[in-house]
Parts: sequence; structure tokens; C-alpha cells
Amino acid sequence: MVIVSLGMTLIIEFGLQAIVGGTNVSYTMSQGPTVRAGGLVLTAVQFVIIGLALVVMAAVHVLLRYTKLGKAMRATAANRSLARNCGIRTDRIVTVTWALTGALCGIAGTVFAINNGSFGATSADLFLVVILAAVFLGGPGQAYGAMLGAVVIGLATEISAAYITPSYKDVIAFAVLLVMMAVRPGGLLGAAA
Amino acid sequence: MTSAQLYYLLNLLIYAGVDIIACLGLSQQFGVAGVTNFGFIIFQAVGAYTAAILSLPSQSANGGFQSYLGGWNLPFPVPWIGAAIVGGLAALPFTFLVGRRLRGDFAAVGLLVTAVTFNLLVTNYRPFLNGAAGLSLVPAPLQGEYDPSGAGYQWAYAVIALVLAAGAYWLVRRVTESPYGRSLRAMRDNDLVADSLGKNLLAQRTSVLVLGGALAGLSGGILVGYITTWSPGAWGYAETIVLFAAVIIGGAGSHRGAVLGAILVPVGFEEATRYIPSTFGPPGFVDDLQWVAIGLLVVIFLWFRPQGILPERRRIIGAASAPVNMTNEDVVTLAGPVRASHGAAVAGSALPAADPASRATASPAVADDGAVLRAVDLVRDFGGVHAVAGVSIEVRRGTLTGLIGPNGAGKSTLLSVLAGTIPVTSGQVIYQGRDVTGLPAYRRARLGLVRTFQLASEFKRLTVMENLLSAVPGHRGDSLAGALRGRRFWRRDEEAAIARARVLLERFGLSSYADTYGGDLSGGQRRLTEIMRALMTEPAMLLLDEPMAGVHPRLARQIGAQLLDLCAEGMTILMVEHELAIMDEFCNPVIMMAEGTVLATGTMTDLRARAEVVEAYLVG
Amino acid sequence: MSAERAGPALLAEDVRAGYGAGDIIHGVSVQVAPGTVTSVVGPNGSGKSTLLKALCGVVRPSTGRVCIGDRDITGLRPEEVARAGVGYVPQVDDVFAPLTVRENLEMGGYLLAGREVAGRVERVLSVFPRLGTMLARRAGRSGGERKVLAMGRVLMLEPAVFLLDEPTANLAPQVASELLTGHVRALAEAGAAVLVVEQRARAVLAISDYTYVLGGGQVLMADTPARLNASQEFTESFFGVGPRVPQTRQAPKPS
Repeated sequence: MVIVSLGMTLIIEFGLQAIVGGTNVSYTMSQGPTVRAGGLVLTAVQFVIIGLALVVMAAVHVLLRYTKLGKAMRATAANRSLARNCGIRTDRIVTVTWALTGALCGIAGTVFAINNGSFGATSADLFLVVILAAVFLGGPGQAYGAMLGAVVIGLATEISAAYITPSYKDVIAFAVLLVMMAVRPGGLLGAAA
Repeated sequence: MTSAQLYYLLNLLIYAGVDIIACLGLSQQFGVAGVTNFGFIIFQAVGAYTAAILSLPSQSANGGFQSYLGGWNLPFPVPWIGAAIVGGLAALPFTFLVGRRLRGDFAAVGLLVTAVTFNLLVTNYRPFLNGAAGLSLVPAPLQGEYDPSGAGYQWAYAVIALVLAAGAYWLVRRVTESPYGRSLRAMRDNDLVADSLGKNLLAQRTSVLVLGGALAGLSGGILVGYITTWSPGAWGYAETIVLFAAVIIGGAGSHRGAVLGAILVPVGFEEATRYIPSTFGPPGFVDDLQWVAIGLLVVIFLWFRPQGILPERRRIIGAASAPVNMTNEDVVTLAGPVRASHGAAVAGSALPAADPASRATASPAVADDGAVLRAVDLVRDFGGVHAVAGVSIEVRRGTLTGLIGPNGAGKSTLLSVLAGTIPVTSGQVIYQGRDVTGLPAYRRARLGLVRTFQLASEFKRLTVMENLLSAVPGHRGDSLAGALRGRRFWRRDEEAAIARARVLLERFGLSSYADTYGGDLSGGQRRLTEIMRALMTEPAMLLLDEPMAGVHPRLARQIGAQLLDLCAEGMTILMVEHELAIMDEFCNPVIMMAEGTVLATGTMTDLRARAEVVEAYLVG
Repeated sequence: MSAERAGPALLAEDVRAGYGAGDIIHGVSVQVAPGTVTSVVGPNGSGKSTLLKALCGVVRPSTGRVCIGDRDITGLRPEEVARAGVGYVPQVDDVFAPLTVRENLEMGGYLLAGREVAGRVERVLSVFPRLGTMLARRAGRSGGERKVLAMGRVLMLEPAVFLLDEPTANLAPQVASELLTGHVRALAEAGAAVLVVEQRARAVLAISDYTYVLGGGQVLMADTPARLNASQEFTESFFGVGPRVPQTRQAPKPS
């Protein structure tokens, strides 16, 4: 399954590049005024991005906890056979989940591009691994684990960039992941090894 | 042929050699041993860098524009040897990812992450290996004596690359076509069962990581000697996918498949696109299409033909046996007279090697009353529930003892405790007069106390014969060192094992299925294979967990008769079973359990006459 | 749904089913009338669980017919069978462990219109008051409470037919008895057709209107509990001398 996913990655990524060409493009937009907050300096756009992330996290939380669809998704993940016995059309649930994942990734990509300034078809190459790292750190199968993992990895990499050469910041993330795998394979929120 | 075409051909041959070696290494890990190494490209990179820094002169040479470690300007073939060694050693730190019961996909991701991390580190830390620019002006082997651009040199290079490829093929074959290779494939098919048969999963996975790493390293060394540069751009994680594509398309687990895949994908594919004019579409379009096509090929093959173009071939062992009969009939005619009732002491076909009876007597102090296995006040709790609540039983030598009871009575739990699969909460297990309560299952197995499992545990992509051979303990060929020493070293053990296996197959009537894949057997045949596999370990006592489950009644009776024959030869068997007709006909005594305790012991007729036994079944 | 309604609520004819290599049940026919409890007993490996799975769509029958009332549901997928009014409680994995008790019940009511769910939950809580104290807790608890939740979950839809697979497995005898005489019997009293598979033959016979004895994947006997209890053959069937040719003595069902 993982191999198939990687194969699909190649198809989509390079198919996209074949279509749009190899040069990078950027959004023409201003980043807005800068704001100082507690020692950090952020542009208005970056505030918006943080706000957007919080909104998305909240939305996912609400979806999973309070909507029928979200509960059906959790039920399907927990016990697919029993879900079917309750009348849940699990195939459709899975399809919707994939679509939702795609949508979230789309938002992430847009946000990344806005923050980064310019982007091309292969800018997100490295992100695949960061995402995997965040998910496995939090514990696969745990939505909240993914959120936690993402925050941890995001913070760890960026904060470390202040102390060590910025180009190594992603290495910190990966080191954290590898240590986790050795010590606690279920992830932070998963079952202890 | 013009000289340009000649150079092009030689170029292809060299790349072919390099890719073949790399693919053989990957095929060994992924196809044979089932280790999904998404970081495979690192090992090739490590090898290339090692060869480079070993052969480069010191940093200050060439105007000092590169910074790197090493630079000892060592002559050929030292850099290549170094590349292989370091490639192998580089695998060792990763064993923590594959040894534990870490899920396969987690480990794969861990390796992928490591590949990316390493690439990042090298790219950014310039003093190490010259960062993103990479190393260049790497001396070609023997460039002092010969002109690397001459046709003769190129020919020699190509020949050497192909010779080394052939060598790699020979090496990989030697390892895979050995009893060790069989154990690797067993681990791939069902690692838990392989573990219970005594295979050391960590050692096996480490060895294929090291071997594959060494091969990848060598391929890197050969490559860098030819193209004289090496930079991080050449070995992103996507390159691993290309190699995986090659192995999958060619045929995972088959050596010829690996070779074919290497020729088709990295070489054939990338070269074929050369012929598409580069002005086709926007710049880089053709390169992108290449990647798209590789991705498509991987997905298509995994969907329609996951075994690849040249799939792993079936190993037919020893002299050609009778033509493989592929009907899935449950009813199999067994050789030898069928015993109509227990107690008839006619000798059946005896096992040629270590006879179980002698095993029992040769070991220390069997209790005077002939009890091979004794349980004293066994208790096993599961979260507050007494699954086994104070059981004391005795199994006498040479008996086929039955263990029955309604669901939830604790029969399987008792069996697991006796076998050592799970520990006791309190009480003792005495085997052949010796207290084995503290010993884990595989140690008890070595003493001759062996169990079978309820759920299917055959190795699906091994033949029945290979399934049997995989259980042989202490086989000389069942280690990397043993495999490398070649057939002559382990041939004797193998032939003895094959002979024993053939006798068992004959005895249980599956001779014509010796070369059938485990996964193609019917339910009853699988049960038989499990019993035969347990017998290959030369046990003194067997613990059978529902051996007749799902078996046609007629076959069940034939199995029962065979078990009785084994007991007549000195084996002791304790059998959990629901099919009470079997108990009637073959087992004496029968132990009846209900609610964690022993309710009664006797023949089935005795038990049936006792009201409390009947009630226990009806109360459930 | 009154007990005088003509025609069985659940009818299975000559069903054969298995899991791949070979069938486990070879031509089983059962009928369940509304408002009655019908039990299926038999030794282990006789195919009882497989029968229920074939009836609710988890396993696809290779031949035979399954009908709910007038509607043929043979071969439908489990989610469609649920829509036809069949509630199934499996023997294991019978709750959604990471979800809370309330969420489990809500999933049981998945097919209900949104505004009906709360009311239905109240009704279920009145039948199983113990659940009311555990609503916010996660479901994966032990034995008795878990089984009560499983029953509550299936009750949410108030299906016409209940299929219960060994509801008393792993329960202490007292709790088991309560479950059977109290709750299972009550389902039938409310008008549903209940088909119960059980190991505890004596206990389930005490609450059944009709019983099938399965052995070797076939119906060996079928009769009222009173007559079965008195029959020598009945006790023997649990100790069967091998699966012989079944002599299906089917006594007429109580109308």
C-alpha cells in the first residue's frame, strides 16, 4: 500500500510538473504590515495563516466529535464490520475521507505557497516526509495525534533554526521521529510499546 | 559501429552492471526476506562517497575548491572494496528499526525518513562531503596507467562491471538457494511462525540489510569511478522508488527478475527516452513524463501482476517426485494400514532418524509411572478471570490423550501454558521429570515438547517440502555463514532432512503434494502439513491444538489413525479437540474440562455416562 | 407487530455458506416467527456463527435464500440488510471501543432521522438503565456492561429481526441468566423475531419457543424445548458419534 502511494506521488507530482512547467511561480500579494507579539515578529499574512490553522483544527475536531459523518468515520475506523451492521455505507465514508484529506492538503499547499513566496510543482517534495514524520510521531490513526505531531515538529524545526544553521532544521524533526520509533513505536498518543 | 555508438553501448553496459548489482541487493531484502527498505539508495550513496573519498587526493589538490573527509588517494581496487564494506556497515544502525515488533510499514517509513535526512545533512554540511555541489574530479581507477577516455579502457570497465554483476548474482543465489534462504522466505511469509520455529528474526533481517547494503555500496563505487562525480541530487528518495519499480516489475524475490528489472527500468527506460527529441514539450517535459511513467508502471504492476514479469520460481527439491496433483480433494489416501481401534501395537513405518522413543528414555529421569508431562495446580488468570483454575493432570508416555470441554472451559489456555506460549500465574509444569515452568516455548521445543497452533500457520509461498524442511533445528546451512560456505558444507544435513521429510510425506499421504505451495493447500492438507512440520523437529511429546478443525470427517479419522501409530512408536500426544467422535475412537484417556477445572478423566464411554459431564456441555 | 401475523419474519432456505475453501453450513433452513424466541444450539464447529453471518450479510451464501418478511435479502451487503430491518450482535468486536457509550448508541441509530435519535436513546436507556450512568465513558469495558451496550446499540433501530451470536459468552452464569430471561425474552415480547445462537443450551432452551440443533453444518433436530429436553437424542447430539446422516425430525412450529 505504501509503495502504491509513493507511485501515485510520482505520477501526480511529475504529471503536474509536466503540465505546468518547471519554473517557479508566486502569488502576487503583499504580506501586510508586521506585528510584534511577545518577542516574535510576524506579518499580517502569517497571523492569518496561524488563524487558519487553528480554524481548520477546530473544524476537524467539530467534524469528528459532533457530526454524524465524523462519528461514522470514527466508527468505521474502529470496527468496520460492525459499522456496516449499523447500516453505515463504509465504502462511501472511506471515499469521503480521502476527498477530505485531499482538500486539507490543498489548503496546506496554498498556505505553504503564500508563506514561502514562490513555489513550483516539486516544492512540496520534502513535505511528504515531514508530514509522515508528524503523523507517525503522534501515532497513526489518531487525528489528534497528527495535530500534536504537526505542532511538535513544526515548533521543533523552527525553534531549532534559531540556534543551529537553518538548513538543518528539518533534520531535528527526523531525529525526533527516529528516536520515537525506537522508544515508543505507537507514537505519542498511541499505545505504549 | 561508429565510435560514438560504441561508447554509448559501453555506457549502457556499465550502467546495466551497476543497476543489476543494486537490484540484486534490493531483491534480496525486499523480495526474499520481506524487508521493505525505502532508504536503499543511501547505501549506494554511501558506497559512492566512500569510493570517492578513498580515491581522491587530499583536499588541497585540484585547487582546493572542494572540502571533504579522507582523500587518501588509494589505488584501485581499494576504493571499491571500501565502498562495499562501508555500505554493509552502514546498515547496522538501522537494525533497531527492523528488529523489534515494529510494524513493517513503520519501519519502511523510518528508513525513508532516514534517507531524506541523510541527504539533507550531506547537502548542508559542506565540510563533510562538499555539500550540494558534491564531489567531482574523482579519479577513475588506474587513471595513472591508462587513459580513461580510450576505447580499451571503457571496454575493460564494462567487462569488469559485468563480471562483478555476475559475481553478485552468484553470491545472492548462494545465499538464497540455501536453507538460510528458505528461512528468510519463511520469515517473509509469516514472521511470527518463523519466530516460533526458532528463527532469529533480528539476525536474519540484519544480515540481509548488511548484504544488500554491501552490494548497493559496491554499485555506488563502480558508478562513481565511471562518472567521476557524485552529488546529493543523484540520490534523492525518488531514486529508491526507481529501484523498487525495477524489482517489482522484474519479479520480486527472483534473481533473474532482478536482473531483468534492472535492465528494463533504470537502463532501458531512461535510455529509451533519450530518443524522444528533447524539444518535445516545454523544457524538462520528457524527464517529468519519465517519472510519471515509472509511477504508473509501479501502480499497474502492483494491481495486475504483483509477482512481476519473472516471478519467484518454485523450488523443487531432490529427485523429481510424482507429478504435482493440483486437485484440492480433502480425502487423501494414506499409506499404511488404518488402525480400527486404539491399542493395536503393530509397528508402522518408523522414522529413520532419531526415534522419539529413544529421545524420551535418553533424557533425564522420566517419572517411574511413565508420566511424560505433569501439571501441578496450574492457575492462569486473565484480568481477574480464572481461565485455568487449579488444574493437575498427568499425561503418560505413549498415550494419545484427549482434552475436551465446552467453549470457554480453558482448554486452549491450558495447552498454551503447558507449551510455554504463555506463562503460568501459579503452579508447575513438569516435563520428563524436570520442572520447565520458567522456560519459554522455544526452549521447551528444544527439549522435545512441541505444539501446533489452531490458526493457519503454513508458509504460503514455500512448497510443502520446504515447509517441512524449515522446521529442522540446528541445520548447518541455516545461517549466513553456513550459506556462504556453500552446498558442500550443508549438503549432508539437508539430505538427511529431505529423507525424513519424504518418509513423513509418504506416511501422511501427501507425497504428490511435496511441491505444492503451502498457500494452495486445502484446509485438511494444511492441518497435516502442520503436524508433519511439528514432527520434523523430532519431538518427544506433541501438544496439538484442534488438529481436526475444519477437516472432513473421513480425513480426520485417517489423521487419528496416524497419530495412534506415532504413539505406538513411543510418542506422547495431548490433543485438544471438539470432534468427539475422534475422541471415542482414538483417545484414551480423555480429560474433560469445564470452567477452568478438570471435571473428569476416563474413556469417552465413561465420560458420557457421567451426568455432570453431560450437563457441563449443555449448560455451556 | 402481533404474534398472530401470518408468515415468518425471517426465513432461510437451504443456505450453504463458508469462508473461501469449502462450506461450513451445508443446506440449513430455519424460520423465525415474529414475537418468538428461536434458538440455535449445537457443539462447537457446527456452524452456528456462520449461519448468523450468512443471514445478516457478513458472509455471502453460496446457495439458498434468505427472506425478511416478503423481501428477499439473499446476498445483500450488511449495510443493506440493516436497512431491511435486521439487527445483528456479533459474538466478539460487538461495540465501537474508542467511541463513548452515547456515541455507540447514536451509531446504532445511524439510519434514523436526526430528530428521532434523542428520543430513541431515551427509550433504550429505559430498557437498560445502567447505560445511563456510563454515557460519557468510552465503550471498551469488560464483559457484562459491554454486552448490555451491544444490545442497546442494536435496540436503537427497533428492528423486526434480532440476530444474537452467543450473547452470554464470557458472562458469569448469573449475569447470563439475567440477560436471557430478562432482556432477550423481552425483545420477543415486544413483537420482534429473535434468533439466538448459544452454547448454554439449557439456559437458552428455557426461554425459547423453538430450537434448532446444528451439527456438522446441518440441522440435526428441530423441536420445541420441552420435547427436546425430554429426548435422549438431544443430549446425544452434543456428544454425537460423528456427523451422521441428519434425520431432520421437524416438529410443526407453534403457530
